[in-house]
Amino acid sequence: MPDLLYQVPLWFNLVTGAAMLVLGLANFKPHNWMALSLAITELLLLVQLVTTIVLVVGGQHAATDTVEFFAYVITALLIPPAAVFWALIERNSRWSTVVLAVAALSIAVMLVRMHQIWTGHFG
Amino acid sequence: MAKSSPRGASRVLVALYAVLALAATARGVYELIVKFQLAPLSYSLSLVSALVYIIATIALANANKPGWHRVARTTIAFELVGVICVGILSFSSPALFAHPSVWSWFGAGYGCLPLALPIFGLLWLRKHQAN
Repeated sequence: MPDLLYQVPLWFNLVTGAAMLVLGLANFKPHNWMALSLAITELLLLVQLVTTIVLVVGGQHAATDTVEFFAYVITALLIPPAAVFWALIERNSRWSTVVLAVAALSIAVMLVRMHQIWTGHFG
Repeated sequence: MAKSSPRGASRVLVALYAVLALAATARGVYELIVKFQLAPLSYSLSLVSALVYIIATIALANANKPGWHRVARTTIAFELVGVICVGILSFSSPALFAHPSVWSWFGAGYGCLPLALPIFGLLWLRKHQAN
């Protein structure tokens, strides 16, 4: 897991997640850029998946458990489509904005776990 | 002010439950396949909690229907009892939970969401009786 593929998606999701949380609680309905931000996250996670598969094939492995690492990547990949799908169905509810925020922030947490599993540093 | 239906806020509850259901299921399946024999008790509990979260998510999403309202109440109450019992046991008999489960230490691995969510869930269900 290259550091760049940890830091970039982590901060991206923390910032967009916090923004969507504030906007949702302030009564804003979902907006196109929110779906776009989750699409970008999905793309970054796919890059993560492909990159780490290449690394593992090349002989590297997660410090703690490679299988667990990939379980996190694949589980995280399921979240953006589900959240955007939900927001499209209930696009007139501000709570959909909060749901998108929950998705982004959950992925941020999962990225931290992926990084811990990959590096073995739990500090 | 945008209109906020009483069901509105429950969407967030459903979303959080969905995340927990996904997290617990992924974890449970992983533990079952990779290391179940190391700690059958902990890992069985992870699978039970995954199942409870899946049912609770579906039931909460349909909580406006009387049948589902009851299912939601039952599963969430079970979840609350489960997380409290496992939480207490993980502190009092750590040997029993040398391998952590989802509910160990009151769900601290998940930001204590497993302890907080059922409380909010039950309060919400109480306030919004099925019609």
